[in-house]
Amino acid sequence: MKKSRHIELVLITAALASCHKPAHQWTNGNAVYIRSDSSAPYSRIYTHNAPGVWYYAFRPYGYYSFGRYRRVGYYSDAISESSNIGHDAAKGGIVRGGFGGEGGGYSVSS
Amino acid sequence: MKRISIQPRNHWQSAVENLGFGFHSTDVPYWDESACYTFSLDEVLYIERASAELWDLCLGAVQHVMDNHLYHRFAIPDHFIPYIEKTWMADHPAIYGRFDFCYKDGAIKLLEFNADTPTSLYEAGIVQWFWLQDRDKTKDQFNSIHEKLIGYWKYLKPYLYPGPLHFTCVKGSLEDLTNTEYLRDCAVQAALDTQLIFVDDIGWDQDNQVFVDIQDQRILNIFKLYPWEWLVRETFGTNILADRNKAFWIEPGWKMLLSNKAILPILWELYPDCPYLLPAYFEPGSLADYVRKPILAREGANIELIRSGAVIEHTGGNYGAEGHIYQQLCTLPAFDGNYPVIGSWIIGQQPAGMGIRESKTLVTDNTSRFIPHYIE
Repeated sequence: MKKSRHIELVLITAALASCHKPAHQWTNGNAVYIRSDSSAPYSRIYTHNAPGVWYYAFRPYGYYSFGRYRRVGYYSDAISESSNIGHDAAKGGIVRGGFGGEGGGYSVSS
Repeated sequence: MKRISIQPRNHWQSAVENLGFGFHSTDVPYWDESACYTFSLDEVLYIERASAELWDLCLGAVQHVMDNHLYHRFAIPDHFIPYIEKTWMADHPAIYGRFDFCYKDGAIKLLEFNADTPTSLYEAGIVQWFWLQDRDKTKDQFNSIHEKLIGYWKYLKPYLYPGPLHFTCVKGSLEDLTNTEYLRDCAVQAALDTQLIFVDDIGWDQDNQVFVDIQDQRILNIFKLYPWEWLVRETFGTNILADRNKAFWIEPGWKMLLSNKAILPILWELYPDCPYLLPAYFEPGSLADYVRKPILAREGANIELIRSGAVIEHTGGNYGAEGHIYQQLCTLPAFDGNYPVIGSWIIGQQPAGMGIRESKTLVTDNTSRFIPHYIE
């Protein structure tokens, strides 16, 4: 009555077959395999301070002024330069980074 | 309920990594198969029954908070109250939650309800199941998490807006990403169109007053492994109220009430005859032995255990500014110096399985270990 039936995982394990970068290329951390079509906008990056393969789409950029950091915006290597610098009028009104600051980027584990 | 010391599988690390479980160890082990817990079927049925009844009581408590306008107990910003009520009245989709139980001397007591961002779902639903397949295929487990997740995503599909269901979590946590991707995996198997977006990549289209993903497509349905109490405080928080698409956020806004420990005194006030509840109050009152918990905290932070006026254990952290509750002390059972807490999952309104986390202290914190189980 309690037993689970046949279990299939599409994204996490079976995705080994569809992931466009084989697991063995990523040896300095623990990999989570994400289906390549839906995660394509994200690029993998390495971190030296923590285990794991991390992903990013848009990276924040900014500058220091009078000792305080000011975030100016976001850029992504995955989209064209013109989009990054906001030449697309339709995208000019889109701002990012308004969520994600409260926990300092750490796990929300509970 | 028994604890058994066992021999871990040879190469267990690669066995769990092959499942995509990459956070099995940090500086301390998290996945621990050097032991397991066994339960009789009667014990499992008892846990299942308690979970089902408590879920009903929780829904009653939400209605009570709204009927009596008790939001001040929850430190919820006033401007979010109409939104919370709307998500309740409109029955916005919800998929899961995890009760944390103390199971001692044959009795279950509710310690808290992780109703908004419960984790350890992947360990409970998948990793411990495959562990049991390797250990003894003839045994059973309290675990229909996977099937219920797929089944409930299917059920929810017609209630969602046409378009993708986005999934979001923080970038910097492999644990959160794994839990989120697992939920998305189940949604994919339920034939939902899904997209992953990290929470700080969510965009706000100022011209159209809608949330957008990284391809600037409108977000209409979004599962978030990110606490409501953080969302409402952040720069984009009020945009949720202004969103012209009125996107479905899963878990929904009304879960802010159940994930807040202020719900515990309210449950006790409403249902003092419930055998699964511990006396709990907003002031210590006449309690001699109690636990002081912040109404908003994570991973066992800022907990104080008081016995006869003396602190017998406490944890550090930065929580507590919003207030505390006081719950009658119910120490976890000891198994050779290990203190297990039972995490009983509710998925799609039904009990769905359990996972056990074990600590060396009376407070289950972020150094606890996940121990698998089976039914004798």
